[in-house]
Amino acid sequence: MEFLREILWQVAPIRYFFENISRIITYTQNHLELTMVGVILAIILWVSVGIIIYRYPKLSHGVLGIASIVMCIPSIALYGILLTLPGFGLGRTSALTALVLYAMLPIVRNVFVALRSVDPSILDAAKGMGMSKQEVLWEVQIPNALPTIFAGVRVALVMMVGIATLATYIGEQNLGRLIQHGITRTHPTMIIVGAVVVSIIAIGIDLLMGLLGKHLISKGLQLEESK
Amino acid sequence: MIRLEGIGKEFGDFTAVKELSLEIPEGKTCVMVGPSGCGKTTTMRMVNRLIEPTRGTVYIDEQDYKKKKVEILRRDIGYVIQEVGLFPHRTIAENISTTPKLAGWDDKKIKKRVDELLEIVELNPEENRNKFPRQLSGGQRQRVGLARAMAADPPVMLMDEPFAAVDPITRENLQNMFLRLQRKMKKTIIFVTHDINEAIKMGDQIAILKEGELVQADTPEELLANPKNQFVTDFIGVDRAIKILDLFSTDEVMWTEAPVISKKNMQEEAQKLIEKGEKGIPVIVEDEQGNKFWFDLDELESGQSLEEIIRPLEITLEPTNSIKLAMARMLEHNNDAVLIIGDDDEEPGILTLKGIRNYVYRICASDPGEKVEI
Repeated sequence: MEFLREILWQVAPIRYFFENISRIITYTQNHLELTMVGVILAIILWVSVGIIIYRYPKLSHGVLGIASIVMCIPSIALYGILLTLPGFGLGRTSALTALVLYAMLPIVRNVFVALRSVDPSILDAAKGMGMSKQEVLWEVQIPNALPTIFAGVRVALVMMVGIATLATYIGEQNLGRLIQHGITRTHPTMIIVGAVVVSIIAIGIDLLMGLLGKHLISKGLQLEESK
Repeated sequence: MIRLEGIGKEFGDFTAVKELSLEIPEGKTCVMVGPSGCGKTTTMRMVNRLIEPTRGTVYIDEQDYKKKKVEILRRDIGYVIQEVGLFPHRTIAENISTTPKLAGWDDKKIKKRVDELLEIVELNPEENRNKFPRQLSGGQRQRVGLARAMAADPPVMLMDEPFAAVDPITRENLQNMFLRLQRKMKKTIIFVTHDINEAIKMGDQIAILKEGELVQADTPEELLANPKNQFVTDFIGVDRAIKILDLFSTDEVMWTEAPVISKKNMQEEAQKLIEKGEKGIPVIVEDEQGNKFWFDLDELESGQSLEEIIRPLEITLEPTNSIKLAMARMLEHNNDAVLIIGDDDEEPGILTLKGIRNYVYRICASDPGEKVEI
């Protein structure tokens, strides 16, 4: 054991990681906090917007257009813009706003497309049996659209983990800080540790979302169509 | 009872249904049939207000259906569609309990009803209640679709080409099952199809539509015997005569007063019949062992000996059998008559090939619009 420890200690990033473990934990906590709050806000906001543009398809063109434009703005530039707006400034408000904006395209678009592609005969049957518009939406349409909606949220969340890294430039104390400081101090070990930890978190969250999806999405929808 | 009163529908400039009035008596099945675009599905969908009529209204049990809240109205109308439309995210049991749940039944009652319905549509409850729709075949799905539509025991049902999407064998099974059910349930049904054979099989009443107008509404028998115009004749098809065979039962065509003579003295007795002025009737000949033979009185006039003319009467059918079955039996046995024997109080009869030929010809030879008594 002692021998193994000696060898591992020779690998700089591992040594750095263990020597700075408490700081890295704090960074990780902040990182997760930001992305989690961000994704919850994004789901509430963008799923609603997706439902609204499904109900009023005239709005869909404009809304999806805006979402595409937001997606095109480089994240560092978006943080910069938000920083200058009154009421935003340095800190969490700007960071959260940026994350929520980036989640707009994957979530809104997937909600819209998913609701539209639910088999019309299912909806016809639901209406014909006497379900109200709300019952059709919540009991039939959304459960059937869930695989696609969930896929959108999953993409958004993984993306947010990455984009949150850059929020270090507007004052967030998260894993991006390791990379930022590593660059300014030309300390490659710091950069490597930051990058690897962020990547592991992103991959881990993606896997978790996969498992969560299996539980949330009805078994009936995960089955292959027979014959 | 359903009464459509002058209902019509316009989609922009296009008139889907002009002004249609039709009454479907309690417990009867009305099949709406016609070429695509004739307005049959639109008409049906106006009955549960999935399409709002531009004019006219519908009375269900003498009540104007617009007086009810639309969701409540639909819960009392079973709805079956070609694509079935089962909810793929819900189990079979959950699918079937849709309307009972909307109506607020308690769980125990729902559970019991689900099993009962699965039995009715001939699916094993144990095996199927927890399956998902994607685990079932097309025919099984439509059975579940039927069970779901009947769940809250609605008095009225709408069925839009319910058996069109399955293979012919499954279709026939489903049709027969549904006919058996309907005999017990006695629901008032509007059934839409483009298949005239299905219409004749399923309907107590057939409504033929063309370009948004009702052309003829009659019983299948009336429709085949008295098509109102060339369109109806063409729609029924070139094999109208064969379809008629399926629709009429042997007791409608058979001779009940055929004379019975003994084999021993048949030549003399036949002569007596001719002298009495009888002509062109079947005569039954019975020997001492009770074996039956027959001949047509017209055949004797050619001067032959009866011994050469008579042939055995060996096939027996019931009065309720179709004349199609009688035809099939005759062809199989190379015979040209069958004996029809019913219950003791019913008079036995003889059904001959010639009799069928004359009967069908009389019905078919008339021009469209000309009345034939049936």
